Amino acid sequence: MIELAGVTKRYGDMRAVDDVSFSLAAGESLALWGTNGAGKTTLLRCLLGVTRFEGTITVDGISVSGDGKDARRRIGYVPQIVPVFDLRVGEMIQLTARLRGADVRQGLDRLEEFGLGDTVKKPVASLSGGMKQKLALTLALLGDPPILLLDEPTANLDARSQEELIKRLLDLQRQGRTIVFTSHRWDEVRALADKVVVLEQGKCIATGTVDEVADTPGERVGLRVRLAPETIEPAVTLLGSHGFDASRNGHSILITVDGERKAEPLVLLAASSIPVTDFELEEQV
Amino acid sequence: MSRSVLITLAQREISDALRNRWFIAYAGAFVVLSVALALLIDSSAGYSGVSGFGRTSAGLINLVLFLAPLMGLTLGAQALTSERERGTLSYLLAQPVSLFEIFLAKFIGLAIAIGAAIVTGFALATLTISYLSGGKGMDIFLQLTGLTVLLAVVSLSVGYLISSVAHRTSTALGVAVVAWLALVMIGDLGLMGTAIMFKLSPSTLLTVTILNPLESYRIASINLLKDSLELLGPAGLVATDRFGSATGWVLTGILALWTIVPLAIAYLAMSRKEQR
Amino acid sequence: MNGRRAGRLSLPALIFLMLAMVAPLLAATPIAGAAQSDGATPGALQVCATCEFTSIEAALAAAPEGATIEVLGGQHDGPILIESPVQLIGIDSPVIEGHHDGTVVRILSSDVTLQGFTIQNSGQNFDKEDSAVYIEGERVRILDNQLHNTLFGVNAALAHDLLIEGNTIVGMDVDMGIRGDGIKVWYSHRTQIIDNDIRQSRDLLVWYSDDVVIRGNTVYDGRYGFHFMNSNNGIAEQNRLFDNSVGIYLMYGKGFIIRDNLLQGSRGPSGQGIGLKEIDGVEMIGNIIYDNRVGVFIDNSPLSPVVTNDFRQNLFAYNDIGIGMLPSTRNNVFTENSFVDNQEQVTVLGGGNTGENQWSENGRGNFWSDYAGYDADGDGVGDVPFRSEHLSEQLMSSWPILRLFRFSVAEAAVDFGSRAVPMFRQNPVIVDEHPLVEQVIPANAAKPAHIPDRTSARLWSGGLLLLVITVIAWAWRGSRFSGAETRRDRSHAEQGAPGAPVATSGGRS
Repeated sequence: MIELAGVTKRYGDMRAVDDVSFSLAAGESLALWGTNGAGKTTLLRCLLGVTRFEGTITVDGISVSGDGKDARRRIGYVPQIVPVFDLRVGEMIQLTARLRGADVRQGLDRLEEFGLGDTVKKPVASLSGGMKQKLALTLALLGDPPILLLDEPTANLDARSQEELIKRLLDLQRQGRTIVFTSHRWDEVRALADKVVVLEQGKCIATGTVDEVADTPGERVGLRVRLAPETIEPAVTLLGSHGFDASRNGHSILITVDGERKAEPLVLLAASSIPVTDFELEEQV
Repeated sequence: MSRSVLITLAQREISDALRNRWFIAYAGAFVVLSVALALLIDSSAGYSGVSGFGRTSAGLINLVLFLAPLMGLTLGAQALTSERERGTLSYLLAQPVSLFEIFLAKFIGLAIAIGAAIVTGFALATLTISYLSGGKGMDIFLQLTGLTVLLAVVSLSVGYLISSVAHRTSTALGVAVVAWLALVMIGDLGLMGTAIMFKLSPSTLLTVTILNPLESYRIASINLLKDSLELLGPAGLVATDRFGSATGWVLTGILALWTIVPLAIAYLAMSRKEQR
Repeated sequence: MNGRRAGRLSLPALIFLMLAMVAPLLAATPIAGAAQSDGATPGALQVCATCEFTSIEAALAAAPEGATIEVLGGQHDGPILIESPVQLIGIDSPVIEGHHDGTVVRILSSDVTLQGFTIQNSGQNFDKEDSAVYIEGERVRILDNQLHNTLFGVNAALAHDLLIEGNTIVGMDVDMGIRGDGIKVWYSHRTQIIDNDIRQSRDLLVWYSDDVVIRGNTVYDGRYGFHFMNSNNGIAEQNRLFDNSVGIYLMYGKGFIIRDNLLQGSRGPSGQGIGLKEIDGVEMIGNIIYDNRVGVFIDNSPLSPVVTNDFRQNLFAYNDIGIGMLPSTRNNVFTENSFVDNQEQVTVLGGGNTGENQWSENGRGNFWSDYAGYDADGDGVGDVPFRSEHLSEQLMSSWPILRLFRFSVAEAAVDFGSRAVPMFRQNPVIVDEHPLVEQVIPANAAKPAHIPDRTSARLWSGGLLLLVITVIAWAWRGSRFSGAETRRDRSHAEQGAPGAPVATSGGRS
């Protein structure tokens, strides 16, 4: 259904997506997993064919860079944030339905099914986050596209809405849809994805089932530790000898560490009687 | 290109314009001022039974030169940046729609909206006095209306260009206002001074002047209304000598170029930016 | 328009009248006898195919002095030479054909009348001034003729007391430079030119001829409507002169009355409604001077320091320049004129002001459409003087090249700036101490040509408004969500409900 081969996206010298290849069969679901800035959203834009890239992407045999319009007709896209059109819900459905060549009534039915039947005449901007997400899903499903693309689908939702959305997505998958979504939440990935592609700095560092990639180092975070100047050198040496990626950075030490082990350096330093005055996390490395 | 997509997006653009307070303000001002001016023209011609194109009616050209470019430039400048800032552009792009379709449909929609405002103003003014064309026939009036819509489309095209390269709506609006001032007034004042100080030949002055699309419009409309350019002194006579009966076409051609070229550059800039 | 129509109508009317007189006789007697026994003009010699005379030449040769010769229709060849005082009357519109060679009718006698002919196709030789009618004789009357496709129309020299009335003169359809004059009057005092319709000729010239009266003529598509030179005491009234380069040009002379004329659409690089060059003692009253390049152009007139030229109750409307005068022009008096919406009401060509001319007399000045004052005491005279001080106009007078910027926003800005900032204030071009607050309408003037068509203007603009409304309604309906679609039918809802996705739904468009 979806084939990626050697997809690379450069911004100047920076590679936002670096030689990513994978394929996905119809009815499968795939998570693009990684930290912010790992290249997930850029890869989605490549999949939609709205940005230039090197390599090839085909959707249902159609090259997205060659015939993006036709490819997009097969893809329903749910953005992370529903854009603020100055429209009412019904108007937004009507607009999207026309652009997708779909029937407005199909959208209205879906809206009712999602329990939003009474919002048809309300401005889109007045909807809550969860309602907007449902509306976005309604819009993406106009014209029954076989593929759904979702960008951080649960990011702005409370726990109950997250659960409800995941259930709905599983339903949709069971009906035969292929689903690709980005996420940086493991529980979400585990609940929804058949396959996971782990992205780090644009590179695909692991591909496989959820269980297969569960062992791969997860997101890495930067840990900036401040301590007394005379203790910096010994601390770097100590951390290095224990396998941490540590370097001096002015009056502090920058440690790049696996997201699930970020307390360990602090414990190690404390155990070696090197007092830590302060620390902060830098999510992007 | 899909016709139904173009129509859908153009319709959306028109109805958006009708709810845009900037557009409402411009269109309202244009219509009200043209009718007010028509009443003034009517009252000045009323007694004597003769009517024609005089100082008062010339105010209509002034009004057009003032408002039509302002309308086109600022609405054009907002068109693409605001779409980008609100995230609606990337939403539309994720649909089975091409960038060119969005670009073109928005332009057509805005052009229709602005054109409707101008036609309304002209038609109401003409209804008010019924002889705006000075007895020279309705074909003149229709041509003048068309020419004025073309001027607005030129401004829209330049505004679009600004919008396609600007990063933010506020920047685009600022640039549009500066461009408007330059085209409407500062350029001419500078040329007037230059013509006196450096004793420019009428031919040189004419050439430099008609490069400004607003000036091309003004001269073309005088050519329409007065059937000659002798009103414009030596430089006007140069135009008649140089272009003869093709004067109107040459000036209209300049306006057409001012529509197509900025629009083409705008599209190139836009697609580079969007597909980056 | 109306002039053209009047010219066309008068001839058939004349013919009809004559036919009506002849008809009873025609019915009563055989045709051959009819002509001979025609009692319309007792003792008249008649020319027709079956008459006593079959050619005009033969009749002329036989006619005694003062005889009347009636030509009953038919086509006759020119040239015709008239050397004795006769009345040559065309009945039934006889044609004298010039065959594009030389002058067609030559009148070399006094007291000749030429009436009711169509005279056409003169030669085209400028040096010989090929004409339809050439006149050298006194008290000649040229009446009700049609002169078509001729180089010169009526060409008179030393022909005092000439009367040219009711003729239609159409010149050749060629470039202005190689056309002849519709009427040329040279050394012919007391000539009267009345109710003629002249078009497509070069000039109507009156040279070295005093006491000439020109009344009720229509002249258009020519160069000079009337051109008086070295002639005195002329009168031009009730004429309609439009679409010429110059309406009336007066050059070197004194004592003119220019009254109730229409001067419209005088265009071209030197377009002028009325031009005065070194003219003393003009009374210009009640003319409509409308849509000319320059309404009245004044060059060194009056010439004499003790004479004034008077301009009263004229309407100057929609001219590029209402009155344009050369510097140092003085002693012109302007009262009760209306200056309506001229691009430049009054200007001194080359810059300066009109100081030594008078813009009001006996407490009455002129009406100015750009007067911004008020008349609190209601006496019809504004309470503050009218001052014309558009900086842009003055700049354009000094630097004509700047006229390119007419109607531009920059021009408006210059005027606004000069009004707002006193530093830029100039000496006003005109000061009218007693501006009138109401127009004075020239009631007796000839009516303007090209009356605008209000009905079609209304229809067209109404149509355009409908178009706008339709377009807006279309766009609005297209993008509004219509509530009707919420009342969908259930059966469709079932079909549209989410089921197995259709891989190629939508298809290609």
